[in-house]
Amino acid sequence: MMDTLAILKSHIASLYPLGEEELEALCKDWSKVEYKRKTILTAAGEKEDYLYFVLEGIQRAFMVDDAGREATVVFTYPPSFSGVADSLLTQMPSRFFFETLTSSVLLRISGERLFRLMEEYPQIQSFILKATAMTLHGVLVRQTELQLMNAETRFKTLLNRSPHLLQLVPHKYIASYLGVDPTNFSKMMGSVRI
Amino acid sequence: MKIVKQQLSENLASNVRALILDCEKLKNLTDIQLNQKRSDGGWSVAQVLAHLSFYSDFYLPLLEKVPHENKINQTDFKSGWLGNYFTKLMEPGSGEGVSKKMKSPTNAIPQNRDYSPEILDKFLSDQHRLLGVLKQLNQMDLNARLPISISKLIRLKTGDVLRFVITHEQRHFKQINRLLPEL
Repeated sequence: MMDTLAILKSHIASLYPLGEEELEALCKDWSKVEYKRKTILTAAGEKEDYLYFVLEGIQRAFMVDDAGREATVVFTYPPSFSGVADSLLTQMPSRFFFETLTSSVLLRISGERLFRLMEEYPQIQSFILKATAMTLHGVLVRQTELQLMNAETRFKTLLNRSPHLLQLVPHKYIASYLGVDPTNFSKMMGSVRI
Repeated sequence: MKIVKQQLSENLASNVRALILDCEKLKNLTDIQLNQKRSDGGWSVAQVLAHLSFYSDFYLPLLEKVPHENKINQTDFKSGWLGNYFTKLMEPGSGEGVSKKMKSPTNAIPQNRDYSPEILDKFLSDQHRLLGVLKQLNQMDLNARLPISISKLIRLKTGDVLRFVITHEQRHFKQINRLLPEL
């Protein structure tokens, strides 16, 4: 557990300069959890109870529309925070399913505990605010990519940002993330291969 | 069967979430498809959901009223032999088919009629209620006994009722998934 806490601490430190007391307090009450692949941790309509930090494995958040089609919105893998963050922070029911794609090991802290820490330590609240702002930035950039870049370019961008995804994640999920149907995705794979 | 309560809660919750996902995917069926009976005269998707709704209506109120333990002594849950037997009976079995075809108790047989798509929302809302119960599992007295729907004289441990109800739902969703290609 000591190693994993060190990883968490160093990741937080890389995002925000928390004081020692704040960093200690924030990293104190995380529990380690392990799940097999294809375990759903949060369902659409359920309120997210946790903030997760990924130690091992790949997860995704996705939505299902009225036609039963899936839209994958994000993949998370180490080292990064995970879980349906907007549901956690707004305390509204999630619109997304959050599941493991490969067997995973995560740290998690309850929303309750996190909010208490945010109230007790203004710096922790600032950290969460900054992390949320960075996430919002990423989402807006992605939105412009979806509108302006064609599937092939977005595919190359994804390969550059997260090269390992292709080997670890079944292609149908990557296709869903790119907004490409699986047959066209296979064709793309054939032509774009680096 | 003996299991740590936290583990039981996580296992059952992820099973329920998988059912929520399966049900969300049913929303693209037309009313006709929803009510189409199987070629061999078996239940339609809607009838299966109505059958499951009967069980939720019976068990959810009981589960939601299970007392919370006063002493924090039990981290484990040990299955009762009858509860374990009923749960095993419900298990879908390996592969696509179910191991044994069973007759439903008379009071749980769905009506022979068409249902509106609201039956899907009812199922979803029942699953979210179940999730609500599962999130309280650590504080609940899982040994508290609850009656079963076919006989008030038979009482199973709460932990086993949860296992039985969820396994039963999984069994029927396997049935629904087998029905889908026909529609």
